[in-house]
Amino acid sequence: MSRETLLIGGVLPGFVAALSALFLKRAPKLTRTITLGALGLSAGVLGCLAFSTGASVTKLSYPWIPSWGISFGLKLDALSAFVAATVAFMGFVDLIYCFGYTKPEEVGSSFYGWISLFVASMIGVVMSTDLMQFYFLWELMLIPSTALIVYWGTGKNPEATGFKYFIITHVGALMILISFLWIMNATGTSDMDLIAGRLAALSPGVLTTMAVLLLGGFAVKMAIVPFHIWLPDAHSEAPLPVSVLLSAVMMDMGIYGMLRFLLGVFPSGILQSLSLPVMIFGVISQWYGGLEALGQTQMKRIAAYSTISQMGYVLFGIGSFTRTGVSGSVLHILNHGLAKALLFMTVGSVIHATGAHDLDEVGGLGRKMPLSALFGITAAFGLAGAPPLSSFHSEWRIFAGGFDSGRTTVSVMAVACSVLTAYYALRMIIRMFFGPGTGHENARESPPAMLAAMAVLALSSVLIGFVPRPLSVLVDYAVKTLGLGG
Amino acid sequence: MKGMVGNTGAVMAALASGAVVAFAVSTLTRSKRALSWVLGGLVSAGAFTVAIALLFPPYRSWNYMGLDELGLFLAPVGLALGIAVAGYSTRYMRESGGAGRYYGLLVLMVTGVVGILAARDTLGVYLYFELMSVSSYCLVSFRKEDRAPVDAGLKYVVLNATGSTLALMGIALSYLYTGSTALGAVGWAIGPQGSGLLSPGGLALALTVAGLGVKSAMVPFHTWLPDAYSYAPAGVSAIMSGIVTEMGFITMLKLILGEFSHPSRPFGYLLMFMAVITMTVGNLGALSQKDIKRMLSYSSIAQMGYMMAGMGMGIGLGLLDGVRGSLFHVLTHASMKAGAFLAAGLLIDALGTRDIRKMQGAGHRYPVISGVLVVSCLSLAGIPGFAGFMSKWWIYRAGLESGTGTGAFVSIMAILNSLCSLGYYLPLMFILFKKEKRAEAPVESSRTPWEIVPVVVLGFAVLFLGLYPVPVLKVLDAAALRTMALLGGM
Repeated sequence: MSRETLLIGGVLPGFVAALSALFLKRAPKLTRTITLGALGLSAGVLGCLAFSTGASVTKLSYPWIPSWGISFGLKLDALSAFVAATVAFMGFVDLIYCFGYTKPEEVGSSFYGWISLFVASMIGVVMSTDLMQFYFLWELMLIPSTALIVYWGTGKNPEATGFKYFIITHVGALMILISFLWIMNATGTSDMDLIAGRLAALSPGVLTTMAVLLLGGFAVKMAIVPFHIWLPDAHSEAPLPVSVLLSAVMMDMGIYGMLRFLLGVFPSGILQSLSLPVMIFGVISQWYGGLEALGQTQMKRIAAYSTISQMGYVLFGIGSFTRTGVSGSVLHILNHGLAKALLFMTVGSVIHATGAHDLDEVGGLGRKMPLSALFGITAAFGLAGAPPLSSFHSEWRIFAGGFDSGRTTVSVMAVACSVLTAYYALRMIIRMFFGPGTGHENARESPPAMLAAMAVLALSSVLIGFVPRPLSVLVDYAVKTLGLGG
Repeated sequence: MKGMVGNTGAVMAALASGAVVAFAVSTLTRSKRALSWVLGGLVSAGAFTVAIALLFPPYRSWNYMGLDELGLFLAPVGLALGIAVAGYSTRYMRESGGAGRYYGLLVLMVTGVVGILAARDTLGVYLYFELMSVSSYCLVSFRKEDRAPVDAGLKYVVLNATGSTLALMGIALSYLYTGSTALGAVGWAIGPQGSGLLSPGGLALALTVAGLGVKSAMVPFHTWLPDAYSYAPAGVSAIMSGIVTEMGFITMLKLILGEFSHPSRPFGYLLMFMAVITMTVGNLGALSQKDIKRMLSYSSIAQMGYMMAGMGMGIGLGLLDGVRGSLFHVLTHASMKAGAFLAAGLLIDALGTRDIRKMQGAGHRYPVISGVLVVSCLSLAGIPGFAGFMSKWWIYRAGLESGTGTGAFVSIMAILNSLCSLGYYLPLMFILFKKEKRAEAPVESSRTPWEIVPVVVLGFAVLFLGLYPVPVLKVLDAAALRTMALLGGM
């Protein structure tokens, strides 16, 4: 099979599964299996494609609205392959977790349908070749995620949470839209491969404004302070498997957008002028998220705030605009996903076993749930970037990038935040699994499906930590496609 | 005055005879109510279908009408909505009777729409406009046994008749000074090159804008609209919102573009200014509504603002993209707003309430209707993948493309307004599909496919136009180019 055929095979299954959910209203179990199969197929195909990509580019393009000059297509280069494979993989693992965590009879077929549409649209965003297509899929992402938050949310007022989530992320999308329209008007094309060459002719002032609009728009999706206000509620009140997708996967879309559009398109002079402010915003997010996480007692909220902090790391790496820093941020897409998904899943196991959402209500669960405790510790060390685990490589590169860029003060502040991260993550794990017990005599270890999902994530993290070579080769190619090959 | 009412041909003949036959047949069979509405619906839908067929090859050659490219784009929209509403209204007719009057008036109203597009001189435009208006007055107060529709209708008549009179004075003024009623023969110039706003030409412009501004719900002449739409039968609200109100705007355009040779700048800027106010007032008004039809009515005011914005940018800044967006928005708005009104009508009947807060969980019981309503709302809010985005996209784009502060301002205001509209669409969508099924005790009423099919078709039209608008673009571009040519070939 040609790579083009495989590419379609990687993107399509999620959409097909979503569509099938529409017709299988009465058979939630079947829908769940179909979704699992579809995401598994996607993950497998995209994974194989990613590791065989190297410097090659596979591109498919079809006319969509020819008289408007708009086409749609799929483009696979090292960067999009890496991100798309990560998204599909995380979606697949999350669905395995769902097998243990959610009861199909309770949530219904549409739950799985929305999840697969959500994952499929994210894969589509990453593969987009046209600005219009990108924007379409970008907004498509919003519909299933809002539906999942509103109709399956666990908080007191899921409508309000969903409303806030939709409106604020939509504001970000509109900033992106304005910038896209401007770019289309200025360059006369919406083909992402062509705009880079044509933008160079514009004046620096216009380019900077466009870049700031895009930065803002993508920062909303990444929940960078001060655009973070939608995140804590949305991530903590969504049903847990959805929290995993939101926190560990959807944030990557903002990162991908920044990489693809800012680094891939704008001249380096413009980027250099934005470097310091971006790094400062990164550090603020790191510290803000970490400190907020320290102050929370609700387990899901701690994990949610930790996402803000981790996105600060990523933004810091991007902001350095050095090869090392950016490659660290790219790698962190996967590593943050692994650690954060694992953390949410650990929290999910505790909630599943005890029904408690608050740290004060749990304790000493380690004896009853030893495996969950082990995975929780892995997650906490992963977030903190401890050496044997995968995040060490990405966080190390991010900080190195910061020092490379010559901005020592900001970089020191960024590094110092690692201590805070380790503190709040370990504090949460210790209070959940160690210390005196607080009732919950009936708490039992999670079902095998949940443990399996967590084991996959933890083992991946350890494996990548010890054998980073294949991934770092892929990431280096990805950074090269952005013109930072050096 | 040869050709005063345009060179009307087979299309007009089909519509006129359709109106007469629908009225006659339904009235004659009045004693058998079922037969009456079936015949009325069939005849009017048939007349619309024949009229559409006559607009396209191979039958187009049978009637050379006065329809230019603009008319060829808009007339099918009106006729297609007519078919949808004719089918949908059968539910209402079953209960209330009076099918003869209803279908006769419906066909006459659409005849007026086509006639305005076909007319070639100012008086012809006016006459068809009045045909459309008078039919719509009657249709709004069709439920004359209730108090509210009659009050709403009265308000509507008084304001719109005043508007019509003002417009007629504008037409009379131009006839007085030039001795001609042919569109395009007057050639007044206003603004930098021509005379000022206080000249007879300026007065005619002001009278026409104000007069037809009433019909097109331009703020501050919009106050009749929420009452009229929310108390009219759902089918009537749908077609009024979908094409009749738009025709007020198109009539304004036709008259002004026909009478003034360089109306471009002042009129365009005026339109842009009014557009921003209209969409903002409409959206803010909709935010606080609890009645679903009232909410949709206010949203119609806002959507009129988008059309004015696009057209204003076309006229004031010479941007083809603005005109294209504006005209496309007439089509997309017709499908999404009509879909929303029809679906809302069915929901109101099924649940026995118009209050959005009491519609909790209705989507689980009526998934198809609610689905169409959600699709229409997403489209109205300008979410990509749905029709409304495609037309708004050009309007947004035109202003940014102009490179002027005014254009960019109008675009940004349009974008912010779309955002604001989510403030009332999102809660509606959330409530419809909320988990707990606690909707009010349903007033069970049997449903026929005649009512559901138009709703579903409109829902699919919204999706289709939003994902693959290619089939309509050729006609749209021709219409936009034609309008630009009327503007003086910019």
